[in-house]
Amino acid sequence: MIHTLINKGFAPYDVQMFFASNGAEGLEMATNEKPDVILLDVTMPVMDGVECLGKLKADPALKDIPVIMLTAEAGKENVLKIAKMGVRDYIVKPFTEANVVDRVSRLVDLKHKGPAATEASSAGPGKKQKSVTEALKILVVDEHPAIIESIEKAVSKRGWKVVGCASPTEAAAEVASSVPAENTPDIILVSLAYPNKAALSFYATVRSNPALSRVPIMGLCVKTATFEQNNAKDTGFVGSITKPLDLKELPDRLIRAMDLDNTPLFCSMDENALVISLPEDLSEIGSLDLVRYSRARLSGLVNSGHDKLILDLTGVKKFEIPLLRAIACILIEAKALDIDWRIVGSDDDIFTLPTLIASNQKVAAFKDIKNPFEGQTTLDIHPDRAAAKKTF
Amino acid sequence: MAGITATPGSGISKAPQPSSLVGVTGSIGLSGKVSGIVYTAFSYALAQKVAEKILGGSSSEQEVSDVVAELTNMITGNLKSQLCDMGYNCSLSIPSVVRGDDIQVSAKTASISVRNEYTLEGCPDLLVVQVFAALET
Repeated sequence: MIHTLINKGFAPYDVQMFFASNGAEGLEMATNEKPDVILLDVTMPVMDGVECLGKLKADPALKDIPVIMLTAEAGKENVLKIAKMGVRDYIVKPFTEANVVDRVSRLVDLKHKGPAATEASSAGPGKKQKSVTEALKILVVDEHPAIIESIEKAVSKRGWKVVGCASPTEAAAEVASSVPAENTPDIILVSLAYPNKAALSFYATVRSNPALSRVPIMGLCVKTATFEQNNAKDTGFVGSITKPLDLKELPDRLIRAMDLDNTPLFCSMDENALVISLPEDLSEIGSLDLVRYSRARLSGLVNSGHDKLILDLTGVKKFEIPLLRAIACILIEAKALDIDWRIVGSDDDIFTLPTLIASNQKVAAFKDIKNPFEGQTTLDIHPDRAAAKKTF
Repeated sequence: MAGITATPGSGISKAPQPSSLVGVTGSIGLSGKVSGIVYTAFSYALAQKVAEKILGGSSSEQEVSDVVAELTNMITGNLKSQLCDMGYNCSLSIPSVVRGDDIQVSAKTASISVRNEYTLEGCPDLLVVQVFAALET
């Protein structure tokens, strides 16, 4: 059953799946195939998940493969036990396919198969890949005006436009009138609560229009509407956003659903230095995607003949885990590429960054991430970019 | 996962032994500070319906048994989590599944014998959960 569910969940993605029925078979398969991620069930015959995990972590060739544990037990003791063994994440059953895909996508890049992929090369002649800094258009189809207003508020500072429709019928007319391409929505959110599977019928209507074949569509529903979420996923929705809405994280979830590079929000060139300005309120998803895309940015910097990075933390007063992780990963990548870096900031706490990261090393989010300030208890902080540039 | 809401009945705190279970029945053993066995009994029709909802299409007998085993694992896992959090650490066996029209179950050393019948939204049949257990003295 678990194999079937997971296989269905990843069906829209360009991935290769391997399935084993017990821990011993799984170990052999991991040795032969060297997967990018292992989903490991606890309850299995022959060799259970805990024993299998121990053997994976004891094998130098396999220990660095991230493992997500699947368990029926949510108790504190069980969670602590498996966390100590070095899993990257765990999922408590019952789970939805969307849950599993979401957790795996935090560890590896997942690309959609076929026409849903937003690769620029497949976009066709004359159709530009959008950027997060553009005035993206979001179509929201929800029977509750308050939801539409909340989404408008959440994305307003990004300069994105929200068009709200109260019903799938109204939305179908809206999308029909939005063609040609420059007026089409960049992403569609539709409530899964409409009766008679109207959301799914609306999906089919959108997909029947070739101009809209690549527009990602997400469901809106309450957290417990797992049946509706599963149906939506099976239909082709790229995921669901559950209510109550996490408005801080919402823009980043939409960016991820649109498969957009989020670094333009944070990166700029200042003469010959790349500047990455990090906000205090960096969300979990925003942080993961920034780390993922910034690797390409830093490589591109070096490829173009530059080797200077300024990490601008001006205005940051509170260092939460997503921000700390982004800082650590970006600096580690910079070090690996021999990029010379400086930090700009103004708050007193910024001087304790080495200690802050060191003290969070045991947190799950920092598992397998080195401390870029290893051995340092203090570091040089510059009051502004001009001062930082002078020291290069 | 199945998208079906289950509502518990009032339950029987001293279920008789032996008890009768009908249909596709999963069982998992508990051992440790709590020892015992948990049974979940689905009628044939209910088991088929749940399997089809979860797997998304008609299911073979083996697939239905697999779904019942996994659901029994989740139900018992949830119970185990709560027991462990109360200080009654225990471990679970691998689930097994039997089928029958009158499965007689009992546990000689069990001082606890509880049973509950759950009504399921949109289904005429009940899900029966029966637990035999003893606490370590």
